[in-house]
Amino acid sequence: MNQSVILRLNKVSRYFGSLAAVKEMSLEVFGGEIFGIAGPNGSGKTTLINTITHIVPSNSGEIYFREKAIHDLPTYSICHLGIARTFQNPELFGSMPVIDNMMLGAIYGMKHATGSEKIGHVKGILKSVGLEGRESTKAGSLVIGAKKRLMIAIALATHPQILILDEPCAGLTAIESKEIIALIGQLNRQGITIMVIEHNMKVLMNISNRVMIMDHGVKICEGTPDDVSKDPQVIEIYLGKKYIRRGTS
Amino acid sequence: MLEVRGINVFIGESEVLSQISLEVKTGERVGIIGPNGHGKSVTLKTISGLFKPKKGEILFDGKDLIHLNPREIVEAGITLVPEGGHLFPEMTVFENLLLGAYTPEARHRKDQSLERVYSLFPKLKELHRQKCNALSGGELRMAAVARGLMTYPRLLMLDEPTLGLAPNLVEAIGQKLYELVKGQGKNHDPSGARELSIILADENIDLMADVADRAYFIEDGKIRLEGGTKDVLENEYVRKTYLGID
Repeated sequence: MNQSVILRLNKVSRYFGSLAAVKEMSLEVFGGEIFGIAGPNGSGKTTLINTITHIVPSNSGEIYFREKAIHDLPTYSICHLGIARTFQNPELFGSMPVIDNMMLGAIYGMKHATGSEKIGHVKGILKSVGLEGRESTKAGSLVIGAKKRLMIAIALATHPQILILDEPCAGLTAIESKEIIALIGQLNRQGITIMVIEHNMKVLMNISNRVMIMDHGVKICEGTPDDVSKDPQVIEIYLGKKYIRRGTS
Repeated sequence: MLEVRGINVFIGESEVLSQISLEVKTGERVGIIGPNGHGKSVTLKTISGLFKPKKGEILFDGKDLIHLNPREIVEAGITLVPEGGHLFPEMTVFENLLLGAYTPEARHRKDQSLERVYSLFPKLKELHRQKCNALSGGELRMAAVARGLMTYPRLLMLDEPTLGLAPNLVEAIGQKLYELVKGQGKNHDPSGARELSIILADENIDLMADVADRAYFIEDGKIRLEGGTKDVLENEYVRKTYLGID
């Protein structure tokens, strides 16, 4: 991890009617780090990354990627700059083969690359995400673990500098979660900065350099996984007492 | 109470369940674990009548359910709370709960059942006028379990009730499921609720260990292992292939 800020939010808010889903959120993500985000259901985590990727625009505040303002840019421009994301529920073209889903990511995100460069890029990703040999399988027929890996693969095909993952382990078995953790670590070692929302605290605490906890649209705690997991407010509103008794390992 | 004997289920040409046999006794909490895509949800849906087996029997109090449709199976006392809950988003919590009480017996007892689910999930009483599309993930899961209870079931089957929930809500749901069954038979429920059994399919192993008395491990559409939940979760093969612990 280097200490240069790659993504910076300054007092970003997003309202739905009178409800502040995200309220005056400021944060910095450093290049090369894994930045974890957790918090109760409905605390604004997904809305936060929706504002970063402009899937829902912020109402106020600024968002900078490598000090370039992106809060007014459309989603595709943000993707072209190097920010890719996944969704809680796999958003795939179910009737299309795995390879075509990935090529859409490459065509969308690597607009200046040649066709053969895109194909080479996609084939390399297939292997790293463990989908080699399943190129022709229709995305809709994959089991949930493979769908989650395909969604990461599509995001990687856009050639991102930051990869934002929304609950990559939700609904996965312990062994599938371990595979996703290993993949996230591998991508991070390749130089990709990772932001990850995850309720599985064993996952989040084991992979993150820093963790932020949100509640009611605001940041209530930010720090190392160890510090955050000992915060009394975090235990009260989010982790529960059994989590502390069981530990994170 | 429930005896599933050697069922085989096909989806298209693929055999997705092969010779599945399991049983649930009155008042038991039974867990189903196993890799994704290997037959847990199909097992629950088959018991509910949503899939029909080519072979085998499904007996509930000795009565064969194979030829009953899903509505008749709910009337017999078996309710599935499906993955994702499938509530009606434009309807209120109260309206969704009332829809659960659609069988003649459940309609007859709907006031007692409402009292019971509001006592179990007080938050739902606060939210009863709220449309379900405005609920948080935890509230939706609670409403889905509550709607299942409104059917006045004897066997409640829950498919991934804690998917996507914060750790403290997983703990809360686990506690509620435990409370639903604990002490039955010893202290008669004044609301008149029947003695309940539960089948739980969930990826959360901590929840499974807390809630289930016994567990079945399903892999490749077959029951690979069954026994006390602790024994199943500590089995070397399950630890290695499912939990990823060497």
